[in-house]
Amino acid sequence: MTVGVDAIAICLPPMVVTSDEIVLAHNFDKDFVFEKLGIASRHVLSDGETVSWLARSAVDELLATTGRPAEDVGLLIVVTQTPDYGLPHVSAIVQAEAGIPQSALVMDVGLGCSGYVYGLATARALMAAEGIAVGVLVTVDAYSRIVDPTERNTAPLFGDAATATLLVHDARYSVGRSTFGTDGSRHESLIVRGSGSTAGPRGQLVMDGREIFDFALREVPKDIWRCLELNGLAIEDIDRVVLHQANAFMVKSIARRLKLPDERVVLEIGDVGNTTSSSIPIALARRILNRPDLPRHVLLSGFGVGLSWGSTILTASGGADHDG
Amino acid sequence: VEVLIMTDSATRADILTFLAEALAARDGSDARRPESLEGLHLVGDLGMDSLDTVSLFFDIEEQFSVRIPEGEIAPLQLLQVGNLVNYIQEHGSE
Repeated sequence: MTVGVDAIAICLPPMVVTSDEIVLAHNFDKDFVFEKLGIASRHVLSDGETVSWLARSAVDELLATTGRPAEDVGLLIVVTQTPDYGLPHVSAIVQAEAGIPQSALVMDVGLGCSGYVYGLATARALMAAEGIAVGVLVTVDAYSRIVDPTERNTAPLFGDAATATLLVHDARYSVGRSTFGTDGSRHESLIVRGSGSTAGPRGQLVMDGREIFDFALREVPKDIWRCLELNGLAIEDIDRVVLHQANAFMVKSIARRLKLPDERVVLEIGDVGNTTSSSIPIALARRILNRPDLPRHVLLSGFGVGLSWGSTILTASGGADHDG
Repeated sequence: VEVLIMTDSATRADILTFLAEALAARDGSDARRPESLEGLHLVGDLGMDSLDTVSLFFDIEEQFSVRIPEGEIAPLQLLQVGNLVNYIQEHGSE
């Protein structure tokens, strides 16, 4: 039996910044933020709150709601690009605070918006190879700590969030084969300079919006076709498509290129913004896993910083075909 | 927007027709007369925002095998439809 997704917990910081506040403070176009980007508000970390706290809260919530003791967890992967520190890794902090055994396989994955797909594939492979029964995949980022609040390209977009996904062998959704892509020649399209070991003052997020848009519209549809072929499925077999929720315009533009009907494309960004690697699991938790009748095939596709992209397919155990 | 196969370099009328259809598809309105676009500005007259123009340039690049570098948009005033058509004619199918 293959490893799959059984449950997802979401943790959002209590502080909310509305788009009205951002529009008013920086003279942004209100229709553009609300209608085009599709974002009305987002949650952000307050002073004193940390990425590891947010991640740990999501893990606690997941274990509490599923009744799984922390001692059962044999794998913990944290996908983040905004760790508390340059070192150590966030997953080490979460392991200790959540009470996950020292013998567990614990590590970070340094990816952004493609990270959930890569995290699922990594966890699936490691759990199968090492005979691990219970895994937890965490996604967490706090872009509020790296975004310039006056920068028009990025300030209205991003929100902070963490998710924790329970991975087991008898899950509600199995994870299919995945496709991956990286084009590092365009790594400067989305970058925080001075945040690593290179010289220079600590910088803030810089995004070439046009480059990212072009990349997403060229690469994501191709990757989705490749993923469908790899899994022996046609686009008509897919009941729901969950793309990385970069912004509403981007999601709709990619869906249009795939000729997907609106009702099959999940849009879940309004009260959270672009939450990077958490955007796909947030949409999954709110729009797929909470349904009594699970859509049978759900296609996931993440894309962003790197530039990196990846797609995979979730298949429900005994789910209904094409539930519309 | 229907994707046309452009064999040789596109005529001015071809490009304007493509733009008229692309603009209509974007806002769901009836297509404008292609020749009426010549003197209009994508932002000032046609109300496009930054995402609209990025998306339109993407469609143009695919359709006419042209690259519109970001650094040339302001100096060459490519948000003006007439200038944009000139640029596509000069650099298309390169």
